[in-house]
Amino acid sequence: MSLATQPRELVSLRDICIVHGRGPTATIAVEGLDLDIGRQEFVCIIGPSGCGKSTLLKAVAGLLPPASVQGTVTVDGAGADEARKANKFAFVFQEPTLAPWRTALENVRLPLEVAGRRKPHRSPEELLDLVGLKGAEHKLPHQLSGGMKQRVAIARALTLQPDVLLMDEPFGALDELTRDRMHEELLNIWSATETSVILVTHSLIEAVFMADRVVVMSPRPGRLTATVGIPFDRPRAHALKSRVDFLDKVNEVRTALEATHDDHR
Amino acid sequence: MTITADATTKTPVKAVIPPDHRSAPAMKIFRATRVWLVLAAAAVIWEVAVTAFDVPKYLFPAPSAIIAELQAKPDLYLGATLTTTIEAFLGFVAAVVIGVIFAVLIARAPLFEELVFPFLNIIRVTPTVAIAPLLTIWFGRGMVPVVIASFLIAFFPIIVQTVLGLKSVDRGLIDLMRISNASELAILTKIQLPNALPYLFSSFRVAAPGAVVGALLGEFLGASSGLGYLITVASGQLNTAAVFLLAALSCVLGIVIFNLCVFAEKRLVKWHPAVELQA
Repeated sequence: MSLATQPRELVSLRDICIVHGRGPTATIAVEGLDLDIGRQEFVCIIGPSGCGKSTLLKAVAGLLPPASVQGTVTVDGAGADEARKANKFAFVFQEPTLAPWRTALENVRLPLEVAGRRKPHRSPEELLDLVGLKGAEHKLPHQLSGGMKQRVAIARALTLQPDVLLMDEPFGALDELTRDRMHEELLNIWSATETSVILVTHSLIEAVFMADRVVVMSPRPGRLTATVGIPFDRPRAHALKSRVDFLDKVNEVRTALEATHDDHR
Repeated sequence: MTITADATTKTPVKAVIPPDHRSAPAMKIFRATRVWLVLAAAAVIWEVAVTAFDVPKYLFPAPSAIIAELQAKPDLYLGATLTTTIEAFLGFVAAVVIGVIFAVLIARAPLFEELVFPFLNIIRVTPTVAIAPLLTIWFGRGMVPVVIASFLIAFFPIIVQTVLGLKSVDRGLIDLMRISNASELAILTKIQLPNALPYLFSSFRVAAPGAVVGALLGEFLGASSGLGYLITVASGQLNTAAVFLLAALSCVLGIVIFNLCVFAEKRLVKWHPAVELQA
């Protein structure tokens, strides 16, 4: 397979509109949004609270009622529904959402049990090792810390070897030190897989540190208002966050974000 | 800074660890047995009071008279206890099986809930005392109406709690299952049913003693064996000691069943925070 025969973009969103409800009480969450995500690209979506970032992720994964989503989502040339059936997506929420009656290992194994297909190219044990939880396989969720639970959720998301990892503020519920550590670890995990990542956040530093590209959304109805490329070399280490050119990028994104706010005032 | 100056000049305070009197062996034995000591003391006071004031046996028998009644006819009373246990157990098992099936249908099919729930509510609010004679008319005097009466009382707590457990699943977990392309059956068996398990067990704390009460009621109103039947016979003969004994046996049966449920709950739903707190 040469690169030339593959489409450059893996995920393609065209004219996406998301409407909640119907009739006079309906609200438009997202309107006229186009976005392309390349293979193994790391894209962060940043925007004010309530701009429809999370809703957009759910629409991509096919978790919203079909009637509320307009426009087309294609993954690798296939429709969203088809892509979901082929287990191309995985999701990590802000909360770990683990099954409390299953151990860490059993939680990671869950997608494998229900998808009923293909041998994983990484076993659940290997994935737990990858996220740094070797030795905690047989712990129940309530015996794990918040950071550990979120690692289990990440390992579980990788179980079916997704093409696209959708992350909705995955570190939002963690304390700052843990969050900093998870930033670096997620980048390491990501570089060890062949997955594209779409990560929703409202932390500027998180977005600039992790992404190849930061896209800025406006307040409701959400639209893309700016795209900022992040050129820093990988692997990126924690020290990057205090570099001057890093802070310049953070400011560039901040300016773009403030501009969308001002437009709506 | 003044803080560092203070830290160097002042000798650091050591925390005092309070001594643990509670784990002394004598205290442990006392705490484990004090409930029984109180019960024994109450029995002694009862015995002494009944003897001292010369209360007639048919009005208020002494504990010794009640025990004597059991010693006189142990086969009769233990046989009746066994009969009631079996009937309550059958009613309870039927309530669990049918209750869980109904709960799954209600939780997963809104139309079923809308159409069937009113009927369930009608049966629930109708006193079992009013239904039991009908059961005897339809099924005759025997085990069947007793088991059904027991079932009727145990059924509702199970169905209500299980529906709650099936419905109160974390939405995110369901979303994750859908992303993994899980079947509806997998969502039911891997997520909803395990989630409902603690709710089911907590319903047993009401349903299991309820099954005993239902069985007694069924026997009371139309049967020819069991504790409830013997209560009607004994009270007819003004054999008050026997009535007390039968009440005590019913009580013991309820307590044993309740504790079996709590024991099973602790073993089977270890993951539930509420269970861990009790353990």
